[in-house]
Amino acid sequence: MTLIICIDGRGGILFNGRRQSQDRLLRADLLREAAGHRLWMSEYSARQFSMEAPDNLSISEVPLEQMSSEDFCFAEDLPLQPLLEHADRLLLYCWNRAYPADRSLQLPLDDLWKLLRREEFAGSSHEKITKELYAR
Amino acid sequence: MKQLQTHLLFLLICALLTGCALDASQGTSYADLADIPDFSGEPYVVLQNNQPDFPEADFTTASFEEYSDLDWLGRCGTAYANVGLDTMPTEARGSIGQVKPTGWQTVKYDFVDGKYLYNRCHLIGYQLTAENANEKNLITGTRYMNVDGMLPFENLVADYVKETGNHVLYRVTPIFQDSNLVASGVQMEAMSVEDDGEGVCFNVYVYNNQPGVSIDYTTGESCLAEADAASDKEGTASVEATYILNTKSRKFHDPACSGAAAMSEANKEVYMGSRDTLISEGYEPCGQCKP
Repeated sequence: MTLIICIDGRGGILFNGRRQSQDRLLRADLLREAAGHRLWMSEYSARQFSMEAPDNLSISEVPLEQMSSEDFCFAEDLPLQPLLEHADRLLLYCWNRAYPADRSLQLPLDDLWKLLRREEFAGSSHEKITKELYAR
Repeated sequence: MKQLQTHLLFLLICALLTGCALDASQGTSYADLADIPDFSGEPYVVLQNNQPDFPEADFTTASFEEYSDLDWLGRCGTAYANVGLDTMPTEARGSIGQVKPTGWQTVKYDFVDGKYLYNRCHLIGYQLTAENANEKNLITGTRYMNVDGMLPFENLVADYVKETGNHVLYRVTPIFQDSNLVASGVQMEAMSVEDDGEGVCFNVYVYNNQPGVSIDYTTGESCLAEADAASDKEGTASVEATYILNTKSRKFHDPACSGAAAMSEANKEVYMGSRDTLISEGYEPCGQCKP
């Protein structure tokens, strides 16, 4: 399973139950990455994709019970640790901005994660978004 | 009429004593320093479960900005805006060096990011309302408060507005204790309008502290924290004095502290004795009056 997470410069994901940021060009890139695969996310995350309405979207608050090893999962408010334990690939989008956070991904990543590729692109409202794909 | 005048005078005195802002137009009272935990190395604490307190009538899609007049000491009050794309800057920020907020000191420490302890700190960040050298929107703030405390919240609001085109009610209130010239911190509140807070919702108090530096908030003067702590210890180790205890929060205050005045009678206890004894009994000194 490929786990997708958006983080700020310090690994932050959410503050007060709300995503730190969003960007329509990031969403477009994420959908390209997950094309041809089932893409799981929570109801909260799916609302962010209401304009794009992707065909491969599946909504669940407990996706681990249903997903296959080829699937993708975009995690914002979903319990992170079980997903991290099951993921064999990790796609990180970094905003390169500082936001408040009360839910974070612990950085640096465990040594078991090996960086496969890194790219940078401009978002619609973010100067520079960094995309990193890891595998283990 | 006389009764009304007496009531207004009482409210004014309360505001001065507690350091709280009273905003007649909004009927809102702000964070009470007596309820704020001492700075413990985190740049902010959450207030009221992150729920801000905005008047229902202000949830509108018309942008606005309001900056309080300076008070009798020249201090800033609440800055309040309904931030939208139309309030955001269209050009780079200009110079603000001509503004000298209350308590301003030009002082450097090698370990502070950028060296300077104090920044002219926008209450509502330039990226939100494009206010440049507005003296009603600039306070003396530590580098730490500006960058580690306030900026992440400003970024969150700015990026949400830029991405969605929605509005965010955004209010920043500097909290001064008594007649201090430097604010103890700022209360920051925000809530997105069009989605009723689903996108943005917070209510926090950001400390105007700088790790490693001890600040005299009455004047803005400062010194290295270690030296200050050592001198405090020497000076107070065996002195007996009168303190006001909060038996609920387990904090002790100087009798003149506004926190003591605002304390519920049910939790208040007068104590005469040594500071060390109180600490050994599990009490902590109030972070504002530093008894």
